[in-house]
Amino acid sequence: MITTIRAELVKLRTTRLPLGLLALAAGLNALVAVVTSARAGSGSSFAIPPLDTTAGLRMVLTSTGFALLVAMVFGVTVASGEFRHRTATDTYLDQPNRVRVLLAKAVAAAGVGLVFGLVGAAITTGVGLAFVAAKGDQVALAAGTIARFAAGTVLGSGLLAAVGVGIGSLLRGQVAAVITVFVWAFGIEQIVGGLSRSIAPYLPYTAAATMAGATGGEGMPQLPSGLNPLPFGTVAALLVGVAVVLSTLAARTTVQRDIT
Amino acid sequence: MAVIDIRGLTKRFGQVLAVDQLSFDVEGGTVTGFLGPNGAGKTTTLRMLLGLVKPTQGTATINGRPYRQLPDPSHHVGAVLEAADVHPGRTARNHLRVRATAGRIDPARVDAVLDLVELADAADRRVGDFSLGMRQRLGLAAALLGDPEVLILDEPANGLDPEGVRWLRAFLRGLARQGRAVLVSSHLLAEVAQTADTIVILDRGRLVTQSPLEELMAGARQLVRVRTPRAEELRVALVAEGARAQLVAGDRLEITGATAERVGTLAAERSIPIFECVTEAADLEDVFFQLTAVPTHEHEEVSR
Repeated sequence: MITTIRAELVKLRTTRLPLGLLALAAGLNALVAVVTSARAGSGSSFAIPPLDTTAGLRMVLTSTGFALLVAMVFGVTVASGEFRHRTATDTYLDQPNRVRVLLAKAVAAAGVGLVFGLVGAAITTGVGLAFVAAKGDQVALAAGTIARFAAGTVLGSGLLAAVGVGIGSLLRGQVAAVITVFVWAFGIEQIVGGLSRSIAPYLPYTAAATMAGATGGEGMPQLPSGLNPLPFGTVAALLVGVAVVLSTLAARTTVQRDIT
Repeated sequence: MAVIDIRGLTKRFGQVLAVDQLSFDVEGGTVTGFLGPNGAGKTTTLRMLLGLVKPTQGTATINGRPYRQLPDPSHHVGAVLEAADVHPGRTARNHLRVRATAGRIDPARVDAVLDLVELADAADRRVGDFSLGMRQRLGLAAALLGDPEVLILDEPANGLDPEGVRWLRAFLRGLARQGRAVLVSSHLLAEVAQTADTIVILDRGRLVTQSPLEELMAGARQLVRVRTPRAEELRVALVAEGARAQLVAGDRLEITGATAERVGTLAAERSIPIFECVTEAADLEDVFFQLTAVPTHEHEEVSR
């Protein structure tokens, strides 16, 4: 198992896509954080509270939605890339136990997914605090709270990457799987979450985003307002559960298909 | 015991019977040519042997076990399948590093196999920029990483220039000399004729023959060409003897089913002068076509 995980990590280090996606996540996060910071307290239609308020600073620090989303897309590519480039043949020649390969991919993707969260949180926190410092404001949030938002982003990104591996294994078509991620986060979760407040916190992206401290959306998938975030442990169990269900489904179906 | 053992192997894709009750074996220290026209089921057979495609029926084992049950398969079996199936963004060296890591193989082997297939100079170039011939060599390098005793190659000569084909022949012979079992598929008999000890011929999913190359050559129809002023008379005499003779020009005959000696004796008995008598070496490609020949209408049915 360790061997297969190591092989997956070598694969990720030797192609450009993971770094490209990380750069994309970082860029989008930086953009959202800067725009949010700049408009905070300016009384525009979005009505972002000033940065010296708890709500205003929180909105900037937790604008890590793109780290979460792109981490999930990254997970998708870890699985579906094998079929896009027809490299599944080699992978299964080296490790004929396909379920083990799937598991190794989920673990490797989750590990790298943590990095997406780390980079995202570092950028939003850095941008937010820089704007606060530039204005000479007080930091309105306690260090512990800021750390908790960052930890939620890191954990959420890692787990969503594992969920992405499940999606990519089940669908195999890279484009279809990536589109599914966006339709799910921007479409289905919005609709279902809007219809039922009691289900909303348990929707995978919403659960991860609220764990990361997000309360709204700001250019990312909008969250229903006033949600009570679930505890870290519950979110982790929920996302692991989703990843396991998707992966088990894939392991019983698509993963067993002939590699022709 | 045979190193590769295929018994009653069958694969059905929906309505199509791709491989039908196929049985043959491959011994260590030999090169076995696995031949058949395109679409005969060669690739499907090799992929079943490698655990990539699930057989509908039958078994395919290597050293007595199905591929998927071999511990550390890369140490026992090296395979070269579709050469284009490598991530184009990886360098040759990184591709091999991935394979070595996944197969639990000493990383030092990476440079060793790159040298072996003469790709060391291109080691740090992206595979996307490789020619098909270079990709074939890279595939061979990957297959040899684990120093396996069994090598399975699907159309490895595709995309190689004549020099590359010659290199490949010598290379495969060398591997067999080291005691390895080599199974190599091709749709051209000439490609493996100089390399293979045994030929397995597959046609429309079925085994046509498994025989040593010499036997196949010996069984081949020989053609005798004769030039004589009394061609028609000799033709009639030959046909009466059960041979097949055809008048191809006023004074020329093409004869099958009789040796040059027999033709000469027959002519001498009748005092027929012979100006020229030539035996043409058996054309292996003809043998192949004879064995896999299908009447035209059947071909149409198959392709429909």
